[in-house]
Amino acid sequence: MKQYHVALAGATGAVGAEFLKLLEERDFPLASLTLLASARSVGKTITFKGKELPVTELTEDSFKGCDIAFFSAGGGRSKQYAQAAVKAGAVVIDNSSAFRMDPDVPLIVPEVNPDDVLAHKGIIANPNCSTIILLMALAPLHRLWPVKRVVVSTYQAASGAGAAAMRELEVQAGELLAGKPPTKEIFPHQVAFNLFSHNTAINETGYNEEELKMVKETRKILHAPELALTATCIRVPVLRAHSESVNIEFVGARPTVNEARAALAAFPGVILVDDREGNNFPMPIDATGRDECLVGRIREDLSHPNALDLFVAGDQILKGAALNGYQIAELLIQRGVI
Amino acid sequence: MRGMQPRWGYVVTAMVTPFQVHGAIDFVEAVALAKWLLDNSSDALVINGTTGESPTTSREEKAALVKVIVEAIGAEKVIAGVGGNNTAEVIEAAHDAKAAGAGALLAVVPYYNKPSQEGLYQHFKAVASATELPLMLYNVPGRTITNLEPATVIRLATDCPTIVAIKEASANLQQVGEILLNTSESFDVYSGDDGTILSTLALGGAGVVSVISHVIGPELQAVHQAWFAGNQAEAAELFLRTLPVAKVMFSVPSPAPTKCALRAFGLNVGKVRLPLVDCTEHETESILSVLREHGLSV
Repeated sequence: MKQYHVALAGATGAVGAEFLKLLEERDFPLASLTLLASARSVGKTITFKGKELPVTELTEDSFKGCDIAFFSAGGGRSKQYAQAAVKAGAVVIDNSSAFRMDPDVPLIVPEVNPDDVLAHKGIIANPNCSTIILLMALAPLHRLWPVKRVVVSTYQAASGAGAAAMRELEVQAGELLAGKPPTKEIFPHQVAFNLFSHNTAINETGYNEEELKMVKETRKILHAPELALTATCIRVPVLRAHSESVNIEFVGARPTVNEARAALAAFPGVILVDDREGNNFPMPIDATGRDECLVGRIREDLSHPNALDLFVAGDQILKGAALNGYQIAELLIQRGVI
Repeated sequence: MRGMQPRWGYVVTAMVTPFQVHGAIDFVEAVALAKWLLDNSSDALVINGTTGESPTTSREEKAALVKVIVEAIGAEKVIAGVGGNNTAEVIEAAHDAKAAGAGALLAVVPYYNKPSQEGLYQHFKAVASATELPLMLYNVPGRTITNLEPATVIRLATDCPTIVAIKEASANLQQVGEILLNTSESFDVYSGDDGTILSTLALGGAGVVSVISHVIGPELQAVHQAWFAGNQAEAAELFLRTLPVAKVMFSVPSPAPTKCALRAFGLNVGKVRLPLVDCTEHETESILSVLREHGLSV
């Protein structure tokens, strides 16, 4: 079996750590592994398969002989260094938003649009976490019953803002329970025992960046430029799994609840959790640490004859980021791209 | 060639039932495990078999489990265990399984109360008549005391159109041969012992209903593929390699070793319910070391 030289930019971040864990646990066919981070992390080592690997500085010369470069070091670094990796002959899997809407860059959820990788020109983008989790619930229905309009509201975990944000939630909870004022460093607002509009910039339309990413990326991945989608993105005091309430209006007649349940249950990477009697539905705590997204609360929209409602929860760091990126790497091998 | 196109494929896994920390069935993990097994060379699954700890799951739990698995992987790959030693209850279980969407049933020889061959005939005939679902008989005298004699199997296969297969775990190859000699081509004989896979295939068997396929599914599949491609020496070599794994997976009462191995793979299947107990640290280490020697990363 062929083995691959892999470089990981952003090795010390939350997503980077999870990506390393996947490479290790799932026995990715590695010829070598290069760990890259900013200058301030140089000197650190990371244990991988029992060996201490040094973290080296991310520079334009980091990618010699590299087959796959996974970037999760922020959009700025992706813009600065991804082309250098491509020039060195690597295929870049970029977790940032830098190239997602570039028409030359495939935006991939492997269960949804795997064939799009074939059109790559060196860079493949990993979608936004909320988009991926939405698509895991939307795509199984859309392929059987084309979708006209989606209204989605998110309940997003702290992990989306990085490992430090998860710590901030834990620290604030401790402080508040001890009767102290919460320390705010990462988030603009108190995150423990509170929720707030997603902490990305709001443009002139009144939508924030996260909401607009969901709109644009969903259309691109589904090859559905006409799809109407509106989103409200909210940060909630949950550690690492996002949840989303989704209202889906279909072009034609909606599927029955049982048809929708069967389509979702059969979709790879989805587990149906839809137990009305036991009031047991997707919860972020059950989605945490799990590859699959949980989908449930499937019901006919009382207010619209062609719409269904459902609820989805997925691990933001896994399917929302590192796992999806890892699956793209596996897909590149399967399709003979590398 | 007889056995080449069996109804449920070559490798049927008798799936363990995942439990949560406090002991309730973990349905989410169960679905994940079912999908994972199909991705790892299982062709079909037995749900609520003895390996699924059916003696200690309730009627409601069994029905709910079949339902979620059928939704996830489709009825044709789901064989619901309905066995028991009370015919009326087994018939109820068959109705439950049918209502939950199962594609087929597996019924074990009634244990403990030692029925006669005529009793067994009438029992299985009644269970088979309860639904129109195909039924796999299950003979395992090591667990049930009573042996389902080949003559009774042949009678059932002849008289009951829905009795289409047997899982033979008597390790008695003469018996396997007698069944194969006297039943139609479409009657599938599955080995119910991981140790008699190849000898069953050699007589015209269809495959295996396995526990170790949780752990080495691709290898068991390869044994069958090699055999039916006519590569007997390769099949034998592959099969012999599986024997140490088969031995260690039954070194303490099953399915504790399987659950222990699956946890090492990162699947959160939880522990076993009493009266079974989980593997001790020492047992765990010896199980994992055999799997490591076999080349698995655990």
